[in-house]
This record gives sequence, C-alpha cells and structure tokens, in this order.
Amino acid sequence: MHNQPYGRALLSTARDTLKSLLGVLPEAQRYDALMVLNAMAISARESEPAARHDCVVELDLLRRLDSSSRAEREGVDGTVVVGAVDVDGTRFDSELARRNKQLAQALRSGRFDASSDRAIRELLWHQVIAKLRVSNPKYLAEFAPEFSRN
Amino acid sequence: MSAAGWRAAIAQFVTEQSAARAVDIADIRQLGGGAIQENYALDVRVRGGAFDGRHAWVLRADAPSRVAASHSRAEEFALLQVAHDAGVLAPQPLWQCADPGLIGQPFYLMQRLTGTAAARDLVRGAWTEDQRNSLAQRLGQELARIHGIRPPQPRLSYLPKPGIASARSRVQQYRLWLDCLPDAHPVLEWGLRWLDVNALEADTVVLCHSDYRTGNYLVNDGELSGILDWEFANWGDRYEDLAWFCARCWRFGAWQFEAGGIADREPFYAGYTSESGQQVDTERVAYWEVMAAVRWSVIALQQAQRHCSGQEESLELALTGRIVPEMELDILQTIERIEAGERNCA
Repeated sequence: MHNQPYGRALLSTARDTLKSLLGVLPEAQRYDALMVLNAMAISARESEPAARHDCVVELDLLRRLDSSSRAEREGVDGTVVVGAVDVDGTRFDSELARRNKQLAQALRSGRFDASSDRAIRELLWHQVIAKLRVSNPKYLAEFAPEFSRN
Repeated sequence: MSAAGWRAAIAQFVTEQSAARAVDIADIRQLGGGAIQENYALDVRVRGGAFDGRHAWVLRADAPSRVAASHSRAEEFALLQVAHDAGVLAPQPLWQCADPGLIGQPFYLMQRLTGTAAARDLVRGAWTEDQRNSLAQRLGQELARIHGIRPPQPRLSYLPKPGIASARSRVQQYRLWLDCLPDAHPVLEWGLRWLDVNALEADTVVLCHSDYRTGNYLVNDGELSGILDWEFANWGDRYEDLAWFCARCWRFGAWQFEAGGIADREPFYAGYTSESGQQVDTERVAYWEVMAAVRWSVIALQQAQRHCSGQEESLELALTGRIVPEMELDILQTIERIEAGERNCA
C-alpha cells in the first residue's frame, strides 16, 4: 500500500505544474514541453481501468473470431477469468499479441474476404476506438463522436 | 567536424565549381526539420566568375539516420535538375559533391528560396478566402507541372522502373515494411487487402513528388514560392500525389479545409486541371487516400521503431507511433464511405 496521493493524482498535478511553466518557456522548449504533456496524458489514460477493459474486450472479440478456439472460449465464458489468474498481465498480453499476429496473417492472405466480414469489422473498429480513447480522444470526438467516452 | 569547420572546404569547393577568384562564406547555420537530411543555410559572397555577387544558398547533406526509400543526395540533385528544367517552382540546384571526405558526407548546394514551410503556421494563417483559393490553385498547377515529367528520363535512370500496376507495387512495398516491424497491425492489413483487391491501374505513369503536402512547400507573402523535399519522388500514379495532399493526416488540425488544411478541394483540383488538361476523378482520389493513410501509418511505425529499438531515442519519434490509430480510423471510414457510395450507385 502506497501513501496518497497515488500515481494518477500525482501525474495530474505534475501535468498542471508543467502547464503553468509553458508561458515562460522559450519557443523551442515549449514544443518539447507540449510533447511531454501529451506523453504524460497518454500514459495516464493508458493506465485507467477503462483502457484495460477495452483490451479484455479486444481479446474476447479475437477469440470469438477464431472458430478453432470454440471450446476454449466456452470454457472461459467471458474473459475476466484471464485477468484474475494472470496478475502481471504477461500471459494476457502475449495471447493478445499472438492472436493479433494470426489475424493479421489471415487478413493478408484473404482468408476473411468472404466470411466473417461483420465480426472482423466489429473487431477492427473496436481496436481503433480503444487506441484513440487513449492516444487522442479529441480526434475521436471530432471524427467518431458516437464512440467518444467524454 | 562542425559547420564552422566546413567553411574553408566549402569555400574551396565553390571556388572551383564556379570558376571564381575567391569565395567567402559569411554565415553557415543549421536549418530545422529534417529526420532524413540536414540542411544548412549559407550566405555566400562570390568574387569573379559567372556567379559573382552575394547569394543565399542551402547545403543539404544526409542526416546520421536515413529512412528507407529516400534517395541519396546525388539522386535528389538529379531530380531537382529535371524538375527545374521542366519549369517546376523548385529551388535551382547548383553543384553536388559526391566525395564524403569534404564535410563528412556527400552534399549538394541549391538556391535558398524565401518563405515559410511551417505547416501549423500556414493552416492557422489569417488568409482571406481568395488567398486560400489562389494558393490551392497554384499548388494544383505546380503538381500538374511535376506530373508533366514522364519516363524515360536518362538523368533519373536510378529510379525503379515505372510499372503500370503501381497501386499493387505500393501494397507489396508496405507489406514488406510491416514485416520488418515487431507487432502485428490488423487494421493496416485489412486496408492493404482492400487496396490489393480493388487496385486501380494508372492511366499514365508520371513523376510523382511522393511527399506533396503542406509542410513541404514555401509560402512567401501569401504566394507559393517553392516546392521542397524531393527525396521520395518516384514514377507512379498521379492520384497518389493528389490524394496525399488532401489526406486527413496532412491537414494539421484544419479539418474543414480538405486540400492540405489550407483550402477546399475544388480550387486545388481546378488548378491541376487547368495545367494538365486532366479532370480529377474523385473516386480515384478516395482510393489513393486510403493508400495515403496506410503509407503514413507504416512510416510513422518505422519512425517509432527507431526510438523503440534504441537506434535514436526521441520523444517526437516515440509519440509518432501513437498517432497511427488516427490514420487507421481514416482507413475504416474512407473505405466504408466508398462502399456506401458504390451501394448507392448500384
């Protein structure tokens, strides 16, 4: 157990402090400071539970797509179990990476040209939306406001 | 060696090339922006010979890290010669030095044009509607002039042979680049598959600038004053350049101005047609805008990988990796818009 304030609150205060310095920084360093602010904001959003949940949904969609893993999917019944047994997320992340690699290969070979089109699109949209929620929610609000969380 | 240390070597080089009596380099300073090459502004005084007088020049040399698919300085110099001879508003190339011994790497000298290329300043400029339209029209005209350069061009013999199915060759290229990256990118693969299945053949093979966008041209007092950054120029489909200019990723936040963040598409297309006699087919532009989003995604991933691999630690490169989903959204939306258009026509 850490002492308060926790990481997210600390990061937020640190960002506010850096923002207050923008006005006194020379032009060249201002650009650097803006990049630092952006990087801090992305990291903060990435560590939010909602972002992790989006990854859980992504893995679920990937498993659904893979017909050969039907038995496995029925066994898992939702994906929360994965997070529970996989405390540091290593196995979760490696399964996510492995399934994305398989999907990328299948898409390139044209295996999904005719079939699974709806399921594929649902997954691809989910991936893009989840990434934008973390990396650039303003862009998401501008071009796909229906998926914006804010 | 520092830029100041080059002074004597460059002065000697210019003296020989211009058959001058004496050459004095009054100032050398590094210019910003250039992940691929380094640019230096030179203020030069030439005494005697055909170049007698004061000159503002640029020296361009390779940066320590080069990006795949960019040309060598010598190749870029040849391109500038061809473009300049074709009447394109490009800086006049002067002399090149292939000997890396002189300043540590090969370089060339060219005329320094006046104006600003800073994309964010340009798209936020307080332009009148007329100024916007006339700038976009000029940009369309210059692009058409570049596309007037057709193979064969003996000075450009180093360029890959002009294949007719250039869309398919681009798809192949981007897949090869993706294969060099550690992670999988399903959205990009899906987009590439769509580009492959729906590939369009070029009506004519032309010289494409291949990085024709806001940020790579100069504007001086509201007037177009030069087309820059020729390092990716290649034989290809005219629509590759037209779409690259209009792609959402090159509007720098000025979303409402679909031609490079500076104007509507119409004046840009009209300028292109006035110079080339070629109507702009907006369906082809849409296809190539998907290609543009894929291309910039793959290049952005390569840039991020330079940071991730430890080759060049940089926050800017790192953040470039995180803009990829913006282009991925463009890919999904543009393809679905094209499909909806086809359904409506059917």
